[in-house]
Amino acid sequence: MEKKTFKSIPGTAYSSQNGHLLVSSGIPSLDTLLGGGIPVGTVVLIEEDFHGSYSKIVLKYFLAEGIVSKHSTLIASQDVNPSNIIKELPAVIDSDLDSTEISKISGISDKMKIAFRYQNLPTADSARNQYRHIGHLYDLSKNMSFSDIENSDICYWNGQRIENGTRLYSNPAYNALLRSIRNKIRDGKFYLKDSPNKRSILRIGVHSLGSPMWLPHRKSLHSIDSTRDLDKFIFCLRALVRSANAVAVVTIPTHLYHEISLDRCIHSSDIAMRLQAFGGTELENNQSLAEYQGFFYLTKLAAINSLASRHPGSMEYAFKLRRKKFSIDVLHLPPDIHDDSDPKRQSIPLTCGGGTKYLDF
Amino acid sequence: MLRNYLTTHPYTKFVLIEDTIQERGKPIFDFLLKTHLEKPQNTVHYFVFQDIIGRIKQKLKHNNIILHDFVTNIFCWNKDPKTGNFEETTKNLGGNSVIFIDSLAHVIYKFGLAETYRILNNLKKDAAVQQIVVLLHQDLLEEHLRVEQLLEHLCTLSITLFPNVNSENGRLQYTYKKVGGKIIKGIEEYWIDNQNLVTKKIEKLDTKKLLEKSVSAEINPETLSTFKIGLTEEDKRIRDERRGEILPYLPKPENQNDQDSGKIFYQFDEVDDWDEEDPDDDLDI
Repeated sequence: MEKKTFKSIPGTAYSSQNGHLLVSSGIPSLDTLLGGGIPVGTVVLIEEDFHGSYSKIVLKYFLAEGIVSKHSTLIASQDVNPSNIIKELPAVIDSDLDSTEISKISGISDKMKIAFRYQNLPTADSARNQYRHIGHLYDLSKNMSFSDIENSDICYWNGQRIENGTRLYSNPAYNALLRSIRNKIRDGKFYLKDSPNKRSILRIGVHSLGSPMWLPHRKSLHSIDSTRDLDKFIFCLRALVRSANAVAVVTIPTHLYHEISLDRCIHSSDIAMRLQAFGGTELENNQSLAEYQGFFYLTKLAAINSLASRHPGSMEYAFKLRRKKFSIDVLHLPPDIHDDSDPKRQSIPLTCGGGTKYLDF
Repeated sequence: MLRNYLTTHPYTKFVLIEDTIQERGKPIFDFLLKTHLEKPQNTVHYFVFQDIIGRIKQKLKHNNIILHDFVTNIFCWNKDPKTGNFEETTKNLGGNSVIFIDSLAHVIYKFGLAETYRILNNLKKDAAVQQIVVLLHQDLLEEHLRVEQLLEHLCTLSITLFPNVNSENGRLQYTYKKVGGKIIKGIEEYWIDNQNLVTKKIEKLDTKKLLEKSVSAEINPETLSTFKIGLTEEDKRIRDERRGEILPYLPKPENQNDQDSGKIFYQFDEVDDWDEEDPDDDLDI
């Protein structure tokens, strides 16, 4: 009985692994990595890159997917105006690109005459298609249309009106945010025990949680290093989200925190990932990484509805940002054959015999 | 390069200058102040938290500057309501305003780090604000590394000054976060020439190249062997003179025809393991 009511929620699917309800993160490659999507009722933690720009893009994809799937949204940020984040959401691409892409791939394989042995091997793309993709595709260069945003249920939280509440947190903003999330879940009837006419999902996006805007106030005894606000908040948020049809994505500027407090946060979250951008580091000029913008680490993948978490297959990922698209790939180093910049390399003959002639087999 | 990042329009939103007692950041601060005062469309809001207000008033007599005095009556002891509320003031700025705060350490003393950060972040979000320039004295802060880390997270261009041991000019290290997400870092030498900021890039030496250069210059084959390899001028002269002369141990052309050319004949054993294949077949010779 209950399953039937679940099935009517748009933009969701059941995991083939453990039968859990999933929503898309908006990024197809990330969904694949997570085993089809983000399980409903979990907290996803994203460790921001130094500039915070790539983590913001991931968050935007997540929120855009929610709006296109007609989910409710709650967006919170103290650092930037949350309505600006919503305004900059990427536009959805209407045409169904997936099917055309598949036919393109099969067209190529027909022509495979010489390397015919490889014809039947699964390519990376077909492996990706093994999960039925529930999300949509987006174009980063365009913004979502204003009417789409206006017609959806979006709740903004910018930390402007904060009452002094409980003593649980040294900065009352944490408490205020939790309270508004709870109110939203209660008012929108997102609790699992509720039975509204039309079930939907609440997507909670928290941008730059724990940034210096969330510092403990002067009157409190704690400093940024001793406060436990952040992990307490994630713990409470997870408890809230678990009991509701809700998913939370939280980005944290973790480079401002000590490792120990970071570990506590990862412990209280369900899925944790880290974006490490190359910009401003030595890796920026590394030729073999020129295609990518940074490393992507999947730090934690919780076991939901099962004993063991899904093994994602590879451990090394990198993300790339093109003008229209953000994607996460398995990190392949390109073959090291052409390095024109180094004249010394060129002078070394590749053949073992004649030197100037081509290599003979 | 740094000068472009500082002064070209659209301005970098938030410039943080970190200095110490050895290397003062005031000259760069004053340079930026001067460039903004020269543009009449900008309104400069100068928040004075240190220094003597009278002296600054005398020095800066431009029309487009508004001084905010937070020195004389900061704790409201003399019941004179002249000193405004810092946060209120920052909220009610007109368009095209440029904000200078001297110095941030004093603001943090007064309001605490969390409050200061909040006010600065609100200023950064404010579309009417063109640029914020902030001077931070590192020596005045407790846990200054931590505070700097947090403020560098907020700012778009941070400049840290160091004294230079080798020359009179100071040294600065900057991190510039572009809007697109690109990060530019650099170390430059700087000096103030006639109230203008001049910077020059300090090239970071490439250890690989240095190593290559140093090795190639030093190798002299003469010293490596016990033989005499080179020729002196005298040797060369003698060699040139005797060119064409046939030395006694060389075969003389008239004798050469008489001699049979040498041949090797292989005598097969009874059970000989003769390999028919040419062993050098795979080589291209």
